[in-house]
Amino acid sequence: MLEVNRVGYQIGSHKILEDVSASFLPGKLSMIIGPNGSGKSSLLKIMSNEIHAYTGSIVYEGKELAIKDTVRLAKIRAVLSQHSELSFPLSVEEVVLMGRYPHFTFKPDAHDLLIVKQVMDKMEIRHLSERNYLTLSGGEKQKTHFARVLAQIWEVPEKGCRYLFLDEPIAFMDLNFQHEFLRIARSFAGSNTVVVAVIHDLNLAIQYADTVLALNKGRVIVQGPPEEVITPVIIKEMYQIESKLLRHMDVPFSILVANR
Amino acid sequence: MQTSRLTFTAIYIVLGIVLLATVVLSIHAGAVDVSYREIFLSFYKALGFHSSAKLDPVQEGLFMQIRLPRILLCMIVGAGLSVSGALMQALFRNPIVEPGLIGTSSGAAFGAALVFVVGKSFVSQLSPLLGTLILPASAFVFGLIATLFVYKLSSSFGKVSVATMILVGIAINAIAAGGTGFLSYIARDPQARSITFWSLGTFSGADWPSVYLVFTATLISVLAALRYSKALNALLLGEEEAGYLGVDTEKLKIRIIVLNTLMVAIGTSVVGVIGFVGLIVPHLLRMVKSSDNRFLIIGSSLLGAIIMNAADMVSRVLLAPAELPIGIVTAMVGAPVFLYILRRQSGPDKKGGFYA
Repeated sequence: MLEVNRVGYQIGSHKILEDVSASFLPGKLSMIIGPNGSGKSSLLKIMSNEIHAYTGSIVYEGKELAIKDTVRLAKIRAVLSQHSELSFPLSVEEVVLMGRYPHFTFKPDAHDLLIVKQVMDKMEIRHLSERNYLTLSGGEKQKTHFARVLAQIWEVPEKGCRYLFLDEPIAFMDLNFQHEFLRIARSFAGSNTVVVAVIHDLNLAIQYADTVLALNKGRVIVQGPPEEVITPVIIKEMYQIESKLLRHMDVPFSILVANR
Repeated sequence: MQTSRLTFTAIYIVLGIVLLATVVLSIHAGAVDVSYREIFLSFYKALGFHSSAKLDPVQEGLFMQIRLPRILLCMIVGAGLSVSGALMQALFRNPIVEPGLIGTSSGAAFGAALVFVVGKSFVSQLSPLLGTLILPASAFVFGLIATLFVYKLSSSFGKVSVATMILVGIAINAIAAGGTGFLSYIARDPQARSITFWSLGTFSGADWPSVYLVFTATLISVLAALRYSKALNALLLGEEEAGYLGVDTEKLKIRIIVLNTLMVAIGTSVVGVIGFVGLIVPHLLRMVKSSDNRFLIIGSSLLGAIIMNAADMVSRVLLAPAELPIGIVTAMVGAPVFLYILRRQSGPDKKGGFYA
């Protein structure tokens, strides 16, 4: 379990986050929503120990996060960003193997290589393993990175949880890919696994999230199940836009439409 | 496009064989030909075996005191510059970075010229040992300062813009070259002549002590660099991503810059400025197989030695019995390759890479 306690963060005099408290439980797919500039990505970076200059505390399983935890954290926490800067020729397998780097010193052992194969099967990119990463399509690249972060935390630690953070991972992906991706993310969120995703598409949040944290102007509006968070009133507060939730008898969840 | 089917080991073996062949060939070639028989016998004798065969003492001396140290130095400097290129390319996350472009070589050349003109005689009077070490030490210090300057000035918020890097590199190189030029202007004639030679690069001054010095520095740096190859791979993903994989990127960057400078500056203090080798060698290896830094470091050591040896052979043979400074050869071949890579990298259909 991961707790965010009264976290504040500012760059110069510009407040990015103010008094943010939230908790993320294992077994649930948690999502963070909010307009651009609401501090979603900053919160994720603070939770992943990438940004250190914040106030308040981040608590992993009762222990407060410190800067020196980088190496230890790398074994139990993986982060997938919107896109990667990788612009050198490497095979897909070599990129996925990077996920195992925190677990070996010099050479990967058979166990690491087995995990690499398993995650490539899971992401259905095994046939690409010898391909040059630079020649892949955008979707295939993102799948490769998803496989890499899954490889990083493929095994549940003996004590405590593993953590998967997704920072707008499907922003540029097609419809099929978005759903495939979120299905995998949700199935990964089993026991002892905390999954937190920053996402823009509110309908995907309604459909897939177990719990949603709504941020606006660096503050928490509410955290709860999607049907309590994604409502016309809160949407209006966050995005200044009128909206309606529609139901269709064939679909077991609501559909949000802007109503202008 | 598939990556090459050749395994890493197969590539190392091929490179090893080619290296041996170029070594034998380059011992043979030169202003005075050393026959293959002499090469074999000299090695045989040097390894402590006795042979009834008579060796021409002049030829043997030429081989042991001039050509062999020269070829060894050539190989080691070639390996060092190439590994440096690979390291800097990983650090800047761009395949067009090279020690000559980012100030390391010219800074080191300035540091060495400084000792040449003002320092050496002065320090040698204090202690002869210090006198030998002051040259590489000064080259190291100034090479490091120049490299750090270029790195700091061309990166903002953890991103290095290549355009800025090249411009900052030009400025820092100009300052260093200006300084070196000033030194050769105020220098007495023989000093000035050696500075000029040196900024073109030459292996003609090779002797055993310089081989030992450069070998030690390069060996230490390459072994240390191998330890960081995993972290350097992670860095290819970007600094944040590397951090998520447990890499302390700030520490890593400083260490890599120091290792790079150690190899380049010590080499430069002995043989002068030799450009573009560090650019081409890792690039060739990437085209053949992969950007995995472990492979690039080992492969660059071998291929760098081969290419530098070949370039030195060309510089000795082309105008024989006179010899061309090797820096001219590497620049003539390397600069066009650099332009080719730059052009390909920033083409309209290439996304990424330019702001790596």
